[in-house]
Amino acid sequence: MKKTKSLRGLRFSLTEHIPAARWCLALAVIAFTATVSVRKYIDLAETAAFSSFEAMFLIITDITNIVFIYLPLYLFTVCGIMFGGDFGGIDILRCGSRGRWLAGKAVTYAVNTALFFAAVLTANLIVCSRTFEFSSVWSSGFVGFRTMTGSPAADFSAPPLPTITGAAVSALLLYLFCGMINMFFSLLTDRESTALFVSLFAGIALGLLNMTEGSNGLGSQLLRCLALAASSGAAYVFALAAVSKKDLGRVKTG
Amino acid sequence: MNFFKADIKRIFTEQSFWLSIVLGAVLLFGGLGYCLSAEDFTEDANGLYSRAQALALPFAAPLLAAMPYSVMIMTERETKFGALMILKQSGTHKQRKQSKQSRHYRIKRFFTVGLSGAAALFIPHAAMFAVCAVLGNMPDIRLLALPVTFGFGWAALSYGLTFVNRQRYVPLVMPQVLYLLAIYAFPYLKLDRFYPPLDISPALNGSIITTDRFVLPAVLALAGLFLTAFGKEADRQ
Repeated sequence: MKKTKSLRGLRFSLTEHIPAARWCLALAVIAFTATVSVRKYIDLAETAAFSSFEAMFLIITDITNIVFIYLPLYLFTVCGIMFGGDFGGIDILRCGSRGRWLAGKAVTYAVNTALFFAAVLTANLIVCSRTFEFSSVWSSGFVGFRTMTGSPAADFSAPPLPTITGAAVSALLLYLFCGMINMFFSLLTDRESTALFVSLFAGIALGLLNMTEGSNGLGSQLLRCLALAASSGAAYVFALAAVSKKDLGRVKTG
Repeated sequence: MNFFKADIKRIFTEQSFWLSIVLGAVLLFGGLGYCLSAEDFTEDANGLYSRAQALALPFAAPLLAAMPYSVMIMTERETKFGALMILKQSGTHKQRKQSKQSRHYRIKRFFTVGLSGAAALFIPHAAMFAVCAVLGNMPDIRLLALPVTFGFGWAALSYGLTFVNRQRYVPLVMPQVLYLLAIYAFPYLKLDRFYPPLDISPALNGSIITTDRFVLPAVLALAGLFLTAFGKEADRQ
């Protein structure tokens, strides 16, 4: 019975509150930004020839893209999730408990984060693979270019694919953490705009710290991923504490 | 005509309008102070005005244009004031349908919102223009046309966005986000001619006023007008 209610609540949360208009806008901006990013690296490639994986690595570790363009767009896409269904009033009855309702919301955030990231990676990979040639190893020109611009040579000790995957998972967990912060502040403030801006500033601060400190080697990426996963878990626990005390009957959302 | 007079008077009673002017003045005079302290002032007031103006304000200008009055119609929607105004106008033009009246009201408001954005950028610019004129030679008077067209265009777009969403923060923030995105993208798309900050600060790349400076504001104003006329959220009056 409990399992049925949880599943019903989760299915409801996943399917009932899809922000379709925001997703359309997000996809359009992702496609546009991917095209512009690759044009930027075409200009750079005049100084050092890049492969498609190397261009992907540059895009996925570019602060302008990940922190200042995709992160606000991601938060704008997901920040309405908590406010669907009159802020839980009927959803909680459907799920059977506040904890299950929040778990459904957390899974919805996670699924939206994964879909958003899949869209970002796919769009960039498509544009990169059409523009640059494929190579499964780092080219000496690219490594020389990166070390000359301040990256440690240790960043390129592993092959491109695991390194890009590590950087992508780290960025994905950063976004998930911002989503959890957004969920927590939505519960605290009842206002979509406040939750959006607070989680955006937290995400920008953490993103800058995450992407400027340390190297992009696999070991560092793993440590970052663990720290971000633990932070996301902590944010969820805080949200759980907030939802258990919340008087949902009196909420006026905005 | 009474509607325009009353609405323009209302602009000057809005706190957000004065806040926008104060923020604009802080950015402009902060830039002027920096230029005066950092440079050897050589009585080139035209250059001084352009340099001081280009320092900080161009990067927040769409937000300043959108702040004063763009979301007023959303407030009116919540308080039902808009419905009252439409009813009042229906009384004077009984032959028109309610939906036509609503659109008519929205489009009239479009022009006052555009003027509010233009005024919010023009007033601090005019003040700095006067200060620069006192300090030295008279800057090029045509430079004062740019804040007007820029403010009108971005405020009009912001106003249009109120008819395609329900959140009040979106029309305020979205123009600034689009502006920053355009700043990032235009150089790589070979659209340097229409680089948005040049529309208010041609001095950023040392260029002079050309017709290119009015293309993007005109496109934005037309986009705003289109959203105003056909946006669905307006039916929620």
